[in-house]
Formats: sequence, structure tokens, C-alpha cells
Amino acid sequence: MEKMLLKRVDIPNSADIDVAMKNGAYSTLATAFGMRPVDVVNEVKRANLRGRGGAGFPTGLKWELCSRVPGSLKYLLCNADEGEPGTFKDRFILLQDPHLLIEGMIISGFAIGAERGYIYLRYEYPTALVVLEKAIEQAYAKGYLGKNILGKGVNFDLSVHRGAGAYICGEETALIESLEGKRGQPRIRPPFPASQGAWRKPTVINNVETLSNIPYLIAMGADAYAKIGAETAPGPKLYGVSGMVNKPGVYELPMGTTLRDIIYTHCGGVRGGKKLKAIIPGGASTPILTEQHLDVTMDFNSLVAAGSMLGSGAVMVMDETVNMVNVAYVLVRFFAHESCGKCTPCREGTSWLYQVYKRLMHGEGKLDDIDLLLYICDTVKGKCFCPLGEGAIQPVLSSIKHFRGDYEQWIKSGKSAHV
Amino acid sequence: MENTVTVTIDGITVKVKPTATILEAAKAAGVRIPVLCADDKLHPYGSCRICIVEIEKSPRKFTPSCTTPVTDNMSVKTMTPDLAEARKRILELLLNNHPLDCPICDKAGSCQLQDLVHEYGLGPSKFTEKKRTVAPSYHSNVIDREVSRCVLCGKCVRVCREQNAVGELAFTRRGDKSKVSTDFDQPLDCEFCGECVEICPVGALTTKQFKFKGRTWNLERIQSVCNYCGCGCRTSFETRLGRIVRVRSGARNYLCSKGRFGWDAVHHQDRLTTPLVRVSGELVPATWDEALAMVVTNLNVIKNKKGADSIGGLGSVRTTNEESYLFQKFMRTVVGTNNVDLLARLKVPKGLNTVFFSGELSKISDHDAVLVLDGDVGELNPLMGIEIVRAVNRNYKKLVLVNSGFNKFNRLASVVLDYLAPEAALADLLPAMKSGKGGDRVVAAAAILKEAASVAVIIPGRTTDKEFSQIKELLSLLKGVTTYPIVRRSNLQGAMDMGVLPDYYPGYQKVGSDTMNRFAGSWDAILPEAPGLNALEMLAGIKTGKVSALYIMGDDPAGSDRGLKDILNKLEFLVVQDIFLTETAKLADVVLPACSWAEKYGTVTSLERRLQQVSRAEEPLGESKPDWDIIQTLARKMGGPMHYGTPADILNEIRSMVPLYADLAMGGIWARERSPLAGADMDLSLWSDTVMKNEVITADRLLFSSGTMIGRSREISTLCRTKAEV
Repeated sequence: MEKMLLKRVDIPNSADIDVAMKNGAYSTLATAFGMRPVDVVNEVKRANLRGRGGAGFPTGLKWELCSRVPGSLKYLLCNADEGEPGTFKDRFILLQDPHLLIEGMIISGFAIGAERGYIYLRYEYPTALVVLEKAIEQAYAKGYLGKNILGKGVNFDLSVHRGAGAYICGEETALIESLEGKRGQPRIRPPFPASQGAWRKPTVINNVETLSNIPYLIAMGADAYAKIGAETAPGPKLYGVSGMVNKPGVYELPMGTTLRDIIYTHCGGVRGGKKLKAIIPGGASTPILTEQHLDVTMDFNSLVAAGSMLGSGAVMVMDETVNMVNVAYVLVRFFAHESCGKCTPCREGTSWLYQVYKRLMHGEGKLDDIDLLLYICDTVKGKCFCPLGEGAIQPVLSSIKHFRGDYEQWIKSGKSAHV
Repeated sequence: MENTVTVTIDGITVKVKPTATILEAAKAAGVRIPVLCADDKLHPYGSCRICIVEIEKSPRKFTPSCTTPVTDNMSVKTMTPDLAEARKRILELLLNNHPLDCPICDKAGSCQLQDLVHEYGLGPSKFTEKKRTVAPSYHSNVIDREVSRCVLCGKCVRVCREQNAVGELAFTRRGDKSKVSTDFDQPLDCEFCGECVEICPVGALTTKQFKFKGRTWNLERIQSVCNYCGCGCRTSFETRLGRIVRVRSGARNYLCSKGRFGWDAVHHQDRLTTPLVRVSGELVPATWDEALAMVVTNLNVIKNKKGADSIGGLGSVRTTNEESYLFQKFMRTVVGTNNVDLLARLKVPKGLNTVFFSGELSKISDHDAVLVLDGDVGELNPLMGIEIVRAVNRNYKKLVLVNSGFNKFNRLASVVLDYLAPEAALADLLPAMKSGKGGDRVVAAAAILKEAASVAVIIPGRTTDKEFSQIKELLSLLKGVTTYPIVRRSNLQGAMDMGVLPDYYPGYQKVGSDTMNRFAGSWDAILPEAPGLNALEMLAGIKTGKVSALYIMGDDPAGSDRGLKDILNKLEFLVVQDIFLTETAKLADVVLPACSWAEKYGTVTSLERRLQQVSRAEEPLGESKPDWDIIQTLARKMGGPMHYGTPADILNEIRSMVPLYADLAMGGIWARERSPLAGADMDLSLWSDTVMKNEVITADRLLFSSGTMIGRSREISTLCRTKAEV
């Protein structure tokens, strides 16, 4: 497949507006502005673009909901709070091709009728902040941002809002709270952001990768776009592969590439020729898969069918040397640390899980603790305020499901790990 | 039916608004869903997850009922074996780190967590880790914090922000380290209303005042009314062994710092317990007979020597309606003068009870817009302030604020008119209302006010003549106006209704020959014909020798204005009836010990003109007696026929004499149209450029500032800092 999202990333100085423009940046603006906003929305709907942040919600539908809400003041937010452990695909675009994102946001803002955009950038991306702010400044200087863009009467202002280092702010309503200057905690839905979002105005929140798809989608048209990749979720997808493979990195492949292709064809197989043991297909909150799932295609529906989720497409590969108890411990520790503390099951459940794992790692576990872990997961399951708590139990459930032997072996060994 | 949806809760079908939550629909269906973090006062929050229910055909197994809106034909089950198990699990999580120190917890017995655990019957916990303990990270003199008991429902945080607009409390840190604290863990610095304590479902927040004073199931509860301002909040005195240990909010579900904590003034050591008489310049204890004999003799001598009109009576805004009624009746029928008045009329909004009548406080938030002409409203009439916050925070109404300073209302207001006095603000606002011209802010304010189909206008407690006419003009330009005059004195309305006025009989019936004959007939007495001296004229009369004796009930003029000491010293005879040895009482020839509002029965009338019952929670202290009893004993000794067994007898007489009260139910409001003065362009307030003009300037807020009562509250005094008088 010809690269789209990563077309410019290897060009030296690709974050500079002149370099980017020479290679096609902002060239789709005129096409988009030549259409009616509703047609842009319909084009995205027709292309069946699904959000790349993790939930896979149809982008066009989200836009349509927002654009139908009466009122002139609307917001477009870009979720660049890329906090899911294992995920680094958005950073690649932010650092190497910020103008792709900006162009996507201008078109998106035009489509939904938002004249104000914010990029909510995770705190831990300081370099991206510098790159983005420079890119925005350049875009303003060239007249792509601000008033009357391309003389077509389109207005769009954009700025970066830096997060304060909380994973939960990747959840869209917590992101809005944080953007408004409040404590980062998810909000009650409904009302959904599309009708009452930032400052209670209609708001669309899209992931960096989703917005970066827009210029290409509009340029090639929905029909051509829909032909790429999986039928249920077309388009290119950035897979960020990490862990024990020979060539970790961000790969742009058609949505629906198999795990086997990703790991063995593109990433050069498992490092050191070792045996593959486990794969986390979409970031820390997606259930762990095993080598028997290698032929699952990496798209939303197929992964759900396989008992996991596409999430952010962050593939983490583990070989036979890895102790899955340790993996679950590290992930649970993360979720306990990042739980916002609002709802009982997540706050208390993740904390309890973490304490049990800590005991296991210290060699003080009992075989009954495996059932206790499952009991706690069952307590948390289906009762949390937002997906964080639900995600937190996935590593526990899936690691026990596929690797109960690891647990038993570890507990029986009485070994203690330095954690 | 339009605009409703049909919902079935546990087989019971109800029609509710489409915006209703499942929890609200369940309430409508009479089905109880257990909750911890939900409260009618607050926006839904959804943190505790106890209120989960099952919805038929929902992809989700459990749905929180407090945050989920109903949809048409939704069918909900609130209790299934799965739900019982799920709730049990949530409770287990909450108990994991709960100290379970119920035996020493003041909340035990009224703790929602305790009740739920009892209801769901938890067995032994699977939790074997060490419990988390959290020390309180901020200081407070009045509120006790046991942070380890906290279930992090956030109600305290939300009530402080949503209801009070104070926002003193907030969550800090996150996950299992979350806790409620103040900004940077600074000592609590708020309105100290104690609403956070009241709303806390567990024992995380309790009051120091109540600590270890009793178990909740051993307390007796007596419904009464707060005596600290005109709002007339319902209170519940909680007593143990006949002594008040705690005051909580009654029906209206709100109390300010004074209402909740200030009651301890009634236990103050300075309370008068015996009558005092002046013997060779010193006040010494005496028996009731001695003291009353001295009053009778002196009043009779002065009356015979100089005439009844040389005697004056100053009534109280703290006593009950019955006592105010009896006081003016005593002055008119027994002493024989119309010289009876309230010094508090110096602090009454101009036009109160003639031009301005208060609407119901709970309806402020129904108006499209609220215009506040006095930014101190939240300090002067706290409940009125709460209702204004509610209008903005809960009903999303617009607020136009005139405020020279900065307080919580500034953050809520759509437009703030920053003028030193309402006069200047109105001078700009009026032209903007008429022509749409002026500065940006007044134009914006005028636009909001003109657009609103209904406006609640908060009238300052004191206005100049100019402001009075400006406000009247402004009201004529607005649609759907309801006025809310600020009335700081607790039973001012009742005292005025009862005719503690030199030129009006009870019920605003003008002193004249018709009314005189009618009252004389009913009271079986000879009444003076001419209107009496008002409070200011009485004070002036002391200087000229026209007034020789004063009977002051429950007021402390010398305490409010030191300059009045010299004037009162000129009196031949001064009798003061009060619960403390006030500055005025110290000047008296006879001091009669009254009992506090917690020790007597009676009624009061709030600024809403709502008649409410005051009830006795404690026995009268020492030899103190209720004011009404003192007056009638005195009257009998002076030959006046007063024989009332209880305040209820007096109320019956009031009902027969005052049409406004004739059929006024307890808790009811008398309709403004029924007042003889309704709509008259006149002013019942007094104005003086000299008397009571010295203001006490405190470094503290008006909310805690001292008066006769609040100055003697130990609890409130811990909140105050310094005071200076200029």
C-alpha cells in the first residue's frame, strides 16, 4: 500500500510548512472549501471512517450529530493525550507531520461548523509541544489558520492545550473537564459532547490519527478511500509495534492486516528467534492474545470476535521468556496509579488488585489469590463510571485465562521479584 | 399526555418528564433505590455505583440509575439477585479501607454506609491487606474530619460548590489516594455553614460541637425556627437529657453558620438567671416580686406625675409574635400610651410592607433573571443567597449583580455592576433600560433584565430616598417582578405585623378614632387617641424631658450605639428585659431575665411573611421567664386584665384582632393584598443621621459578626478574629 499518513515523515525537516507544502500539505483545503460542509460530513460518513483513538466510533456520525445541533459556537478538539501504554503512533505524526493534523483539523472544523480548535496534548510530549506551536505559528503566517482562510470566508483558530499528566484525560469527557481547567474526571453522558461538550457547547473530539486521515479521505474521495483495508473499517491504520520484535516501530498498513503479517512480515519476527508467547494487540487495556491468534486481522470487529480489541493499534509482543504475572502486575500498577478515584469500583478495585499483585511479586502469594484476583475483577466488571476500570481488569482476566500456568508456577516457586 | 415518557419500575408504570433520571422515576413510582452519592440538592454525579439497576433489553448488565435519563417504555428492575450481589460487592469495596470505628463515630445510627451494609448483610471480607488510613490535611475549629471514614462520594465538595458557590473543598490527588481537602491544605476558610457535615453520608465530617455528646438514637428532636435572621429557616433542636446538643436543618434543608452553630449562646455563662434591681447605684439580684414591684411603683409614679406619654416602650425583633403583641398591648392598654416602637426600624428596607413585599425564597430560582442590588445578601440573609446560587447553578438563570466588592456572587453573575453604591449603579442602569445607551456592562445588564419574562429583585436592607425612588422606577420597567427585601432582623416582620409601631395597631391598622374604638372595645380598655412617639422621637424626648421612663424588651440600643448611653442615663427610670446583661441592661434600674427562644413556645413570622412555630427545647434557665409571661404578670400587677395560659391563647386573640392572621395556617404566608398598606407609596422605616450610624467594622464577615446573641456563641467566636468600632 502506498503510504498516506506517513507519506511525508521521512522527508528531512518535514515539520516545516514549506517542506510540507511542497509535498502536498494544505492542498486539500481548496477541495474541501469547494464543497458544502454537509457534503464533507457525508463524504466522511460514506467512507465509513472509524475513530482511531480506540473506541472505533464512526467519525462521520459523530460529526453529523454535532453539526446538526443549532448554535454558532462549536469546538473541535484533537485528542493528542496519547497515554495508553504501548501507544506512540500519534507522536509520530505530531513530531514529523504536524501540518497534516492541522490541515485535517481545518477541514473538520469547516465540516462541523467549529471555528475554534484545541489540540489537547499529553504533558509527556514536550518536544511535540514545541513542534506543534511552531507549526501553528507557521500556518497562521501562511493564512491557513485565522480569519478568512484562502479567502473563502472560513475561520479557524487553533491552539495547543497541554495536559497535566493524567491518563484519564484521554477519555473525552475528562479531557473536556481538564481543558476547562477542572479536575480531570469523566463527565456524565448524556449529554454527549456532540451536544454539550466543552463549556457546554457542541463539541467534536477526534484522535490525531483520525483527523490526519481527513485530508487524504477528502482528496481521494470516499469511494476510493473505502476500498482500502477492511470493509467494516476502511482506511490506513498506524500500528505501533513494540516489545520483542526485530524491528519495532510505527507501521502504516491497511486496516485489517493480520497480526502474523505485522509481526513476521513487517517487524521481522520475534527477536532472537524466540518463541512468541503473548500479544497485546491494542494497548494496555486490551485483552492479551496468544500465538493462536496470529491470523486474526487487526480491525475493530475481528479483534472483538477474537476476544480482544483494536484499541489504539499498539501491538506489544512478548516472547517465551516473559513471566505473565509480572506483565499483569506492571499493567495493573499503571491503572491503579491512573484511576481518577471518582467511582468506587475502579478506585478501590484497581487498588486492591495492585496490592494482591504486589504480594504475588514479593513471593507472598497463595494459590487462592488467583481466584481472589478473578473475584475482584468480577466486582469491578460492568459497574465503572468510564472505561478505565473496565480496561484495568483486562490484563488480569486475559493473563489468567491464557497463562494460569504462569501464575501457579510463580506462586509455587515462592520466588520474589524485585518490584 | 405530552412531554412525558412512560417508564416501568419493578412493574409499576409511571409517567415522568423525559429529562428525569431513572432514580427520579423510581421515586415517582414509590420505589426506593439505595444511594450514597446522590442527593436532591445536587446535580447527578454517579460515583458510588450503589444505585445501579437493570434495564430490560440493555446491552449493559448494570446501569447507574442516578445519572441515566429515562427513555420511553423503559422497563427497569431495581432489585434482582445479581443487583443485590453487585451492591454487596461495591459495599465490600467501600468497607475495605473503612476504619469501622462505628463505636466512637458520631454518625453511627444515622450513617448511610452502616445502614446499607446492614441491609445487604455483608459477610467476612476477602480483603486481607492493610487498611489505608488518611490523616486530615487541613485544620478547622468547628468541623471534625475523620478522612479515613470518607467514601469519596464528593457530596461535600459538590454542595459547597453547587449550592453555596463557595468551593472551599475539593478532591486532591487521585485513585486510591484521592481525598477531600482545601486548596493547598490550608485551614478551612469558608462560610462555615456546616452543610458539608450535614450532607456527609458517613462520619467523615462531623461537628466538634457535637463530638461525643450523644448517640443519635438517644436524641430527642424538637422542630423550631432559627432566630438569627429574617429567613426563618426551620431547625431541629436535638436534645439529650433536656439539653440541646446539636441543631440541624429542618424542612428547608439549609442552615448557615449562625443557625447551625450559634445556638450555644443560650448556654452562655452570662445568661441572666434572676431579676436585678439597682440599689445604691449597683445592680443586685432580687426576687421577681421585688423587681416587678419596683417597676410597677416607678411606672405608676411617673405616669401620675407626668402622664402616660412620658413613658415609652421599645420592642424587640427577636421575641415571638405573641410577645410583641402583648408588649404593645401592655403599653397601649396598661401604661396608656402609643409610645411603642422598634429601634430596628432604622435598619429596615425603605418601603417594606408598603411598596416591597417579599416573595417566597424558594421561588427565586424560578425567575428568568435575578437582580441583586446588594452584594452582601449572602451574609445578611444566607438562605436568600443560597436561593440565588441555586437559580444560577441549578436552573441556569441569569444573575445581574451590583457589588462594590468581590464575593462568591461575582463568579456566578452574568454581569457585575461594580459601583460603590446602588444609587450610582441605578443611575446608569435606568437610562440603559430606557434608551439602551450606556457603558457595555449596564447595557448588557439592561438587555438581560429586559429580555427576562420574570425578574427577582433583591432589595438592599437599607436605601437612600434617591435609591428608593430609583428602585421603584426600575421595577416599573421590568416584567414579572418579585421583590425580595433583605431583612436581617429575625422577627422584624412579626413585630411590625403585631403593631409594635406608634401609629399602627396590629395588622397595620392606622391609629385613629375608628380603629381606637374597635380595639378599645375588644381589649376592654381606654386607649390613647393620638399616635405615639416613634423610637427616634422617644430618644429625642429623653433629652428634652418629654420622656422619663423606658421599657425596653429584647433590644440593646446602647450596645449598638455607645452614644445612646448618655441619653439613656438621663431617664428617670429604665427597665430592660433581656436574656443577657447587655450594655443597655447595665444602665437599667430593673433588669428582668427573659428566657431564650429555645426555652419557650410561640410563633414568628419570617421575611416571607410565613407564620412558623417556635418550640421549647430546654427548660427556662434559672428564674428566667418567657417575655409574654413577664409582661402579663407585670400587667396584672398594674391592674391590666391579662390572663393567658399559653402563647396559643395569645395567638387566638391575635387571630381575632388581626385579619392578616385570622385564618393563617402554621407554615402559611399572609397574602400581601390583604395588608391595608399594600401598594401605598409610603415608607415605614426610620432614618437618622446620628442614631446608630456608627458601624462596627470587623475584619470578619457579616456572617459571623457579633450581636447580642452571636457575640456570645463560643462556636462562632472561634471563627471571628478582630473587631474595631469607628
